[in-house]
Amino acid sequence: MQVRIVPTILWISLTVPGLCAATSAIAADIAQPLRSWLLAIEAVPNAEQVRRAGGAHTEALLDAVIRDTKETSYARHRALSFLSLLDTPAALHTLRKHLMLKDDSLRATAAVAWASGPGRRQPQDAWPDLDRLLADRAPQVRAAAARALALAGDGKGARDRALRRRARESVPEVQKALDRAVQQLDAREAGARTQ
Amino acid sequence: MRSCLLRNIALLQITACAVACAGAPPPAGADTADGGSADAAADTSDPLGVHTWHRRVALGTLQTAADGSTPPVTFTVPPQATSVLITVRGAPAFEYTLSGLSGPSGAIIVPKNWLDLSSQPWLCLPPLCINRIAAEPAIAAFLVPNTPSTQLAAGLHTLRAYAFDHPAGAHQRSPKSVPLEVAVNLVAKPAIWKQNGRIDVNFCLTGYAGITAAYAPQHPRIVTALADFKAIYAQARIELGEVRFFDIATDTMIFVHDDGSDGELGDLFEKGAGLPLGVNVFLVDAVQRMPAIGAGSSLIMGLAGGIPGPPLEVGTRRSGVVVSLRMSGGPDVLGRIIAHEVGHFLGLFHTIEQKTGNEAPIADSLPDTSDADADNLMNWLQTENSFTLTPQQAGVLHDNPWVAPTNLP
Repeated sequence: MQVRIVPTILWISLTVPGLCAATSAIAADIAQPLRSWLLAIEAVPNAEQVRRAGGAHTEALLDAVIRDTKETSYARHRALSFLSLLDTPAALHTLRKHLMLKDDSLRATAAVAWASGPGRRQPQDAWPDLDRLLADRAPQVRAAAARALALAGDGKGARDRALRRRARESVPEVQKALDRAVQQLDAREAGARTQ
Repeated sequence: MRSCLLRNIALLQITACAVACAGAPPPAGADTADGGSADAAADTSDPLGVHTWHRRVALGTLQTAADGSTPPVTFTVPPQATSVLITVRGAPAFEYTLSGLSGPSGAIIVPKNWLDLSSQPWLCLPPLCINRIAAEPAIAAFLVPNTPSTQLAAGLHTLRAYAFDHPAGAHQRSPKSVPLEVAVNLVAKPAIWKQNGRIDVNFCLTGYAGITAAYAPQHPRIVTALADFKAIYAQARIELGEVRFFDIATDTMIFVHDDGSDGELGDLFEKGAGLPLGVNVFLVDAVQRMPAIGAGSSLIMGLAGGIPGPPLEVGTRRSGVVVSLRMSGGPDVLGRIIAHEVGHFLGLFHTIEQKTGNEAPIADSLPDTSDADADNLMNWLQTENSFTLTPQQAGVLHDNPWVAPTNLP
């Protein structure tokens, strides 16, 4: 028995680290192009470029970056943003989960991502979460959600929400953001009418 | 020794010659060539006259034809000139570039058929343009030379400006027939005047994170960023001259669409109107960039008004750089991002562009920058070590009229 166990342990001790290393290497290969996009100073990829960079597990890789508190702040913000570029149930699910992040600054980025991604594609489904963000405890998050309202696919719904929230808002910075959103939505409506 | 020659060769051909101006940058809108005789200075110790190194010459308002191009316009580069910076200005709804630039004896700087040969109109890259040019909406600027591979020859130069837009999401340009204003900034800096220079900087603050003009000079994050910014430009023998702080009433978050419109970015840069002459650095909460195709957006670290931006003007729709303050925690790269964006604004391209597909790597046209140098300030990736500038990058910076020589006689 002992004779059989020792080689097995030996096999495991030799093979498992090798397998792990190989798996990590593959993961690193997949992640490297995505990491490059995450750290680019000015460039923003389109959905296809994010998918090509991240492969089949793009959403999971982005999720891991967002959750990793040892990651740079920029990479985490960008990973949140990139979820808005992807039109997949997994991206939607992951982004929705991160609307609850404790960090106000990250949650503000998530709010813009939500409004500009799902809020643009499927506004009716996105409103409940966007309404919550417009009433967030942190003014920074409320201001971010307000500013991004003008990106929503449903202009009338966005305008109604901005005006409703404006009537209750007490922080000047958020009030300004809501006023700006209304102004932009009105301009958008006027532009649509002239076309 | 102020001198200038402006000749109208034909109705649409304007010849202007370089001339001198006072050592200090001229106020916005100053200039235009005023006729007179062309008695180019012979004194090589002070080649353009008394403490003179820059002059802006307006080439007038030109109309682009249905193919998007203006008729050819000529201007004369005098022997003293070391660089020229051409500006093309028009309605903010459209983008502008050059559809041709040639020097004496037909030496080609920007081939006139590059738009037919390139897959996109925003950048003319080597081998078509050894001296790269980048299109911008509202006001586009083009620095020649921006590589040692291009020589600025004295004599008659001919340019054509080009106006276009592209329907949202489309990668094809659509030429526009519009009026344009074209000007040439002539810079004459002998080597001794490139040994030391200075730029004045205006920090334009939105109040985000409590950073106001009154508090910014003591704010730890701004103090550190400024020290980094100064140290980076010191490598190029460029000092920050006047560093001023202003409160600007504007949005703290800026949305930038990649659809060719200058939108909120232009609105932001216009808020710098009336400030003293200097490179305007806008510090905002966040810059959100939206790709031309599809939904979604992403935070970016910053953007410049152009590569380069408009010279010696504040308050135009491309006058300045904008940087996001939102990221915090970890090593703070704010000073490096400000320095990077100002590098673009003064005419530096990325040492190598990010690969987005299977295309060949696109490196800058400076032989002394390395494609693999992650420590270079103009690397496209944000790293903790992006700090260095090469001698040739320093040369490009000194060729920009924003950099004033500090060792004038």
